[in-house]
Amino acid sequence: MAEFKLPKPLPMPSEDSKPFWDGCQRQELLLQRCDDCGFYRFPPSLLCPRCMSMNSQWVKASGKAKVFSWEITHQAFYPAWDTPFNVAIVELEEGPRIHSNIVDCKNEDLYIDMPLKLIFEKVEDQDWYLPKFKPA
Amino acid sequence: MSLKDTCAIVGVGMTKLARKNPERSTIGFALEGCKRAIEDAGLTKDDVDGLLLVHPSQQGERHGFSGRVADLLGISSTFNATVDCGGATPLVLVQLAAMAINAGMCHTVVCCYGWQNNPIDVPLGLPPGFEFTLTYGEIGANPFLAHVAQRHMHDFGTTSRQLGAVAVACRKHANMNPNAQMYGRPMTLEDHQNSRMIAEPFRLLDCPPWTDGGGAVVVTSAERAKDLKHRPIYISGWGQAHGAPLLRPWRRPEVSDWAVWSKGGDMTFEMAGVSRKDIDVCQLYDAFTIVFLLQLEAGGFCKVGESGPFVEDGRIELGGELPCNTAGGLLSEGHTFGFGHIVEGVRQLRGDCEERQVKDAELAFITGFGGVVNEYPPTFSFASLIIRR
Repeated sequence: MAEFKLPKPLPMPSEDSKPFWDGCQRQELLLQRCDDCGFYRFPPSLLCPRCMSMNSQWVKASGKAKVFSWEITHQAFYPAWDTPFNVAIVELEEGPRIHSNIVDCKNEDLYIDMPLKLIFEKVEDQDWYLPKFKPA
Repeated sequence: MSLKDTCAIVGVGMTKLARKNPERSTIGFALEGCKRAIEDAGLTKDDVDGLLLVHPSQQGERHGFSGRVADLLGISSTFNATVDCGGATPLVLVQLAAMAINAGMCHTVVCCYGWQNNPIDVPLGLPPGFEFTLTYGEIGANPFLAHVAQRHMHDFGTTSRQLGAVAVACRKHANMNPNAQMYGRPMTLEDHQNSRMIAEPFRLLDCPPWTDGGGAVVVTSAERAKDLKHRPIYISGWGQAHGAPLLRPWRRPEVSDWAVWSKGGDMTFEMAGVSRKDIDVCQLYDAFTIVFLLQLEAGGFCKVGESGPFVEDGRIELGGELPCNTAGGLLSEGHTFGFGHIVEGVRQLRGDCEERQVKDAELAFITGFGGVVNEYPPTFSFASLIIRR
């Protein structure tokens, strides 16, 4: 009998995050950069958590990153993925850290500070791109 | 004006704790916890004029939870709130109770929680704001705290065996507590090392069990506490610290990012006017083995990064230098959101713990730790308490 599986959930963009996810569909990773102090922030938000300015621009991230931390899920609470799989917290060159998966890399080869390169991957059977990373 | 020792915990109550208990709803567990704590204090519901509850965030409960519990208890309150700081909430409730009593808003407050993990007719909904985590397969506390453990291991050389020492201590104590979920199920460090991976580096025995249950404590003024059934357990110090710069950078990761919660621990000791070596027993939040280590550091019992070696060789077990989690903790008594820690702290200072009693325990240090793990940005709340007899 096939294992019970749920479809992979797609993000439900909020008013704040819509520009981020729209960018991903164009295969661009966009971050908000504060116009007043230059701080890059994530997640998308109304104001800068460093200087409280509400002026910002969406700018394209370089795509250079490294592993900040990682784990291997062996027992998935939400059964939509084949286990085991990795989830990493990725530190972008611009500073912010985001969750993602490391692809084209064996789980046992993962390590903290591993240099990474941004790619975009389609969610299986769905017309939706997610930012993911592979070893640089 | 210091609020040290102006209030006391005068009643405690826990329901039966079980992996699955379909006999109670979330609100039913809360009500039973309240009833037990009020009766333990030798009070009636009509003596209670304040009620505080842990927000049962995933149980289908939405608005007005604490108001409905008050109504179902049949009490008329002048102070009532539902609070949400994850696993730090129980201690935050006790702190708020003491503040409200001192502010003259009420005189006797019940702080409680209830939790039914499999509520009937409540579909398990996706958490709001999951877009930056579940999208990649991450949901819940296991993988999230696994990231934290991985980083602690990287930064300080903490080992899986050191995490295991926490689990072993908790299990040893649970086997002296007949109400513990893991009572009668001994465990060794080798059992921990051989348990299956859940979210590497976490093994099964680094994680807490699912627990259906409820609990409550009664807080009143020191003045009123004098004439009640039990010896008053005074609330001597408290503190909080919120945030997780470790995960949400202002700067490159550095050791001081791990120290953000120490502010809450230091505040607690300053208010109580005691030092770490005065503490007889600790009840430290242990939703995962790594969380216990972070509490030792936040409490100032060791330096940041040194909690791994600290827990080796039985130091945190009964009979060791710093007995901790003497009822079994979240890991082995059951996931009570930390209510079990307050209840056990009080029982130790009352001298009611029989086989697991720390001799002549006068001062206890208790912590709670809550994580916002699915909704971005990830962050943590820390709260602590010193109580004395």
